[in-house]
Amino acid sequence: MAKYKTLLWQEQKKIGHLVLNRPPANAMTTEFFLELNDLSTNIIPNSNVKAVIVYGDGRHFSSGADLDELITTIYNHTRFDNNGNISNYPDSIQNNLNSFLAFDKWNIPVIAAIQGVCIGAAFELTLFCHFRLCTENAVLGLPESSYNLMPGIGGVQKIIKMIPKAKSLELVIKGNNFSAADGSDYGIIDRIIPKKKLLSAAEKLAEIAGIDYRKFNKKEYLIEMDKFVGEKNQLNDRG
Amino acid sequence: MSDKKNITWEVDDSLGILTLNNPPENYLINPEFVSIDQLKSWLKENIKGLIITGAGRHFSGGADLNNLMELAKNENDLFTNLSKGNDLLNYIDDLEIPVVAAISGVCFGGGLEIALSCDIRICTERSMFAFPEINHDLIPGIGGVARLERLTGKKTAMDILFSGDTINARKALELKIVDYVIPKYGFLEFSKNYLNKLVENRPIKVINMLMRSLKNSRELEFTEAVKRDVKMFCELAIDEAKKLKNE
Repeated sequence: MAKYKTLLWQEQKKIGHLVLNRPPANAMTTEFFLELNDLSTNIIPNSNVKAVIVYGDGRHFSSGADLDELITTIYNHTRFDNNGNISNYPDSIQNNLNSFLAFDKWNIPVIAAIQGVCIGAAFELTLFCHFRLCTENAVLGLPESSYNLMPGIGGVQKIIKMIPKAKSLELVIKGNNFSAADGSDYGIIDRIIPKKKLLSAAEKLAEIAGIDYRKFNKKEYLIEMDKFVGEKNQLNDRG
Repeated sequence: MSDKKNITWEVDDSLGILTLNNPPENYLINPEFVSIDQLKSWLKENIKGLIITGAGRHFSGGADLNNLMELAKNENDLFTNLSKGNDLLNYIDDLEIPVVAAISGVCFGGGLEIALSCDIRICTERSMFAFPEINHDLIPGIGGVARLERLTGKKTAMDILFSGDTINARKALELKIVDYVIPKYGFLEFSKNYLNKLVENRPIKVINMLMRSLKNSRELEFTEAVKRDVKMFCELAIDEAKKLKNE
């Protein structure tokens, strides 16, 4: 089994656990992206897991990319032509994107189980997942614009396909954080789950959806999962 | 404030406000209600957001049918005029700044086509929407059909276009034709505040790139659109790196 420093990969009962593991806030460093790329493109496609659950170690999902490091990498590895115009962007940046794009190539359901902070590149990562379960205390958002940047790993393209343009504009231009309840209202978060049940609900969903995964059955899989979580705990049942 | 024929232009901080001004119903004499060149020159001055609204009680009742019928006597004239109107709405739709339609009263036909070319629609509780073209054996002529379908899906668009029925604000919200419904008084203030809060403290370059990215989402295949996002991100990151070096 592959040994990584910033993430954990475990296969349990044919379900893959992808754990962001760089406490305290599981920041997505260059090293993390390299390891994720190896996992996404080499390990997972060759494993026989039927579903993948993605979550963060500890109280948070992830605070997103390490911006200082990322900006420095881009600056140092971008090539310019004689006129000072950009001729080539760094391969590493394309690789980060390829890691996320791979989520759709595995042909198995990928479930994000989100608690605590999940912003920027981390939130983009969850947008590439096929299900988003979330605890009530989660803090979500794409704050890149407040750093004079924009979501750089497909976040804009994903979100515009999920929600109306006006709301997309607000989320990416204003860049304000939003709560799990808001995320659920917008239609980005599939279910809000009590903290204690988050992981077991994600495992159950992985089990249900992993048996015979068809994207258009998404609602049915979630309804099956609801039965397991228990009616009292269905804080959100938008379907 | 500058006045052209049936159009008023104002600048409020970093927002531009374009008012359809042919009261009471603000009928459109021509589908091209303002020339692209004129609008371009107005938008030059550090404008980060655009509001399109109607003077007085209504947004717009749509095309001036008498003028349209006059134009229709010469097929070429009508086609030229509609093409210009179409180009104008495409230009507004493609602007790389957010555009809000601030709607009160009637928003019919060509008026609704203008509103649909905006990014965000804010209307009052009393607003009314319709494509009444069908009642004259016509169809919306400047992109309204495609834009409505994009927003509501095919079934709802067919209901609206085939019936010509008037839709109230609540129903329009439900059908996703408008984004916000607010009380009648202060709807323009609300729209200005909304747009101002959206763009304040955001550099124009970031706004432009985000708008381009959203536009790419419907014109390009997903992976190509994402690649363009990566490039734009790198460009912004390099700008930031240079700033840090100069500090």
